[in-house]
Amino acid sequence: MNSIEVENLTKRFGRFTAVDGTSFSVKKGEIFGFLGPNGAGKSTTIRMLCGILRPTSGTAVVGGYRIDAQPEKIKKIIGYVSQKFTLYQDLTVEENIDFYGGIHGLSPSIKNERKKWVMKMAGLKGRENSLTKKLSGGWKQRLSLGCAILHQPDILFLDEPTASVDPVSRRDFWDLIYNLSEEGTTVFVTSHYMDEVERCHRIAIIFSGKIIALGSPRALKSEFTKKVDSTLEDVFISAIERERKNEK
Amino acid sequence: MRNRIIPLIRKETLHIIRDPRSLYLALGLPIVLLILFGYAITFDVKNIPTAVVDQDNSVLSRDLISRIASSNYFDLLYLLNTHSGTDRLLDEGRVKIILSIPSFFSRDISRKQDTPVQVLVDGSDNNTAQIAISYVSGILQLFSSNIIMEKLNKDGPMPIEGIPPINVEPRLWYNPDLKSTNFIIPGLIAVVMMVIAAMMTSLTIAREWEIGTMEQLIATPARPHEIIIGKLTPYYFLGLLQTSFVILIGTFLFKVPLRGNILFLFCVSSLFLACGLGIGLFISTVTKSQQLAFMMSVIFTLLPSFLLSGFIFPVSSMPQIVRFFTYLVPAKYFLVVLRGIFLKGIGLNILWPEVVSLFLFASLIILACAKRMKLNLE
Ligand SMILES: Nc1ncnc2c1ncn2[C@@H]1O[C@H](COP(=O)(O)OP(=O)(O)OP(=O)(O)O)[C@@H](O)[C@H]1O
Ligand SMILES: [Mg+2]
Repeated sequence: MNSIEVENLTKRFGRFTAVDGTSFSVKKGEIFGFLGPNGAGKSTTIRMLCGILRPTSGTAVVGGYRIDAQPEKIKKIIGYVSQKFTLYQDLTVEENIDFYGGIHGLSPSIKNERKKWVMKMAGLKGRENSLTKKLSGGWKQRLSLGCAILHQPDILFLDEPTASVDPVSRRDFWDLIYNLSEEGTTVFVTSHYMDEVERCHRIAIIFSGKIIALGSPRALKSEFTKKVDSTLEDVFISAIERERKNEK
Repeated sequence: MRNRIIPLIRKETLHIIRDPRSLYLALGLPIVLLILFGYAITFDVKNIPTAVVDQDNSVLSRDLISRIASSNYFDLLYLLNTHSGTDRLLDEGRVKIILSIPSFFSRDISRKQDTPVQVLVDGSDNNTAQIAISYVSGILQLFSSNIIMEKLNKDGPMPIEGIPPINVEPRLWYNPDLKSTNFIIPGLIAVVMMVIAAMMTSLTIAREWEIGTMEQLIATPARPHEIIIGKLTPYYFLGLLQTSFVILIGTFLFKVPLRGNILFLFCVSSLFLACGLGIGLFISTVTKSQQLAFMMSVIFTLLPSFLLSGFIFPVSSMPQIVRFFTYLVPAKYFLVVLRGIFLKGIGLNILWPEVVSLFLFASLIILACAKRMKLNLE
């Protein structure tokens, strides 16, 4: 069963094409990595899939709902952590959790239970009343993740979630992602760190709005390189070279 | 379906409480502006520097001069007996007005002839000039009617053409001592309430776009109207608090009489606030930058409320095309209401057209914005 099905999705800003007819699908419970350099169209794709940006053409079905027809339905079943840090800095940890819990319509008892869970997951116990702006990068990042999964979404969209986080926090973060995936949550994550997307079940490499490679890390390595100990970096480079040749 | 508006309101209230700047903008700034402008803008002209050229030097002319000198409208700085050099006094701005009494002043009066008294006024400050002229003519009129009365008492009836047929005695209603603060304070209240309401809403929405939290917010199930209500409600109550502050300052510090119903005043104030919040909302559908939102609030609220509301320039003396635009300025209606309630003590039975206009403006702009506000990233 597919959680996300994307068909010919295109987004133009004026004459500039940010996402250029991409098609792919993501299975339920899969961790799907979206790898690409700055300006490749990762955030634009994620925003369209979250129902907050209208595609120019093409469509996608997320959790069974079409993004152009039923974005309201989609918003109820997804969690989204955007690329910018998006918690309210002038609110305390607990107030942020209460706010996102409230806005997702959690009942008080469920909200309290989930709050405890998030505080434990993010290691924030005892800091309920700290202002969010006083937290360090790793804590903030875990708190934003926590606020995005308070309502136990079916699908989780993470836009460069570990951009400003130290390696230890990054490992904790990935442990959590694997747990969520095992419980059946689909995770769609963008990154421009090669080593990071290595942990995904499948990867799409996006370049200038086009998907130029798609598959599991291992499959991609054997498809694009002949070296034994090749890395995703090698894959990335040869994928781009192949794309350039095709264009000519 | 659980209520999503309550968490939104609570969150917005926390922002306001935690941000001293927004509290200052909402409560401190109006007080500062009101006090600053209340004292600075005054249409009362007092102590106008004055020169008198007395070419007659008679009992009568000195009587006239002492009347002028003793009124606190004029500051008699120069008393001359020739015209030579008087031009320079005006040119150099040492006096604003020169009163010239001709040499045959008392002779002409005793002969019951028309007696010209020349008044030279520095017209470069149009406002002061107008007022100075009206003060002088007031004093002269009083002076001449006194003379006539005296003559009547002394000489008995005299030829009819020598007496003014009607004794003009102007009486000003509502503002008998012509205190200009009584007109200015209601105008300032309208301007301040409008600008701050529009600025606060447009800034708070633009701020969320700039920080990026708006992108997060619109990806939640919260609907546009819920986000709007959540944003506006706390600012609405803040605006009412601000209204009470400015009314207190107006009545206690500036002693503007509050003759009408205070409850009615608050009801119309909330309508007017809704207009201001609506304009702020409109601005935030146009721009996502705080800087632009700030500038647009100034352009769309400060300038019209000052210039097109009838606060500074009376609407009736505006060119037709400009007058048309004044209908789109909520402050124009609110000003009529404020002056009506404060100075005249009138109520809904007279002010209903203004109240209806404010109600229409508020509901139309908020509905239009709710439609326009797509709340997506384009
Ligand atoms: N609202 C917009 N209007 C115009 N151009 C836009 C808009 N949003 C994005 N773009 C452009 O589209 C391209 C893709 O942007 P996008 O944010 O999707 O890239 P990205 O892959 O997320 O890059 P990054 O790693 O920098 O986040 C960029 O060139 C960007 O300038
Ligand atoms: Mg991005």
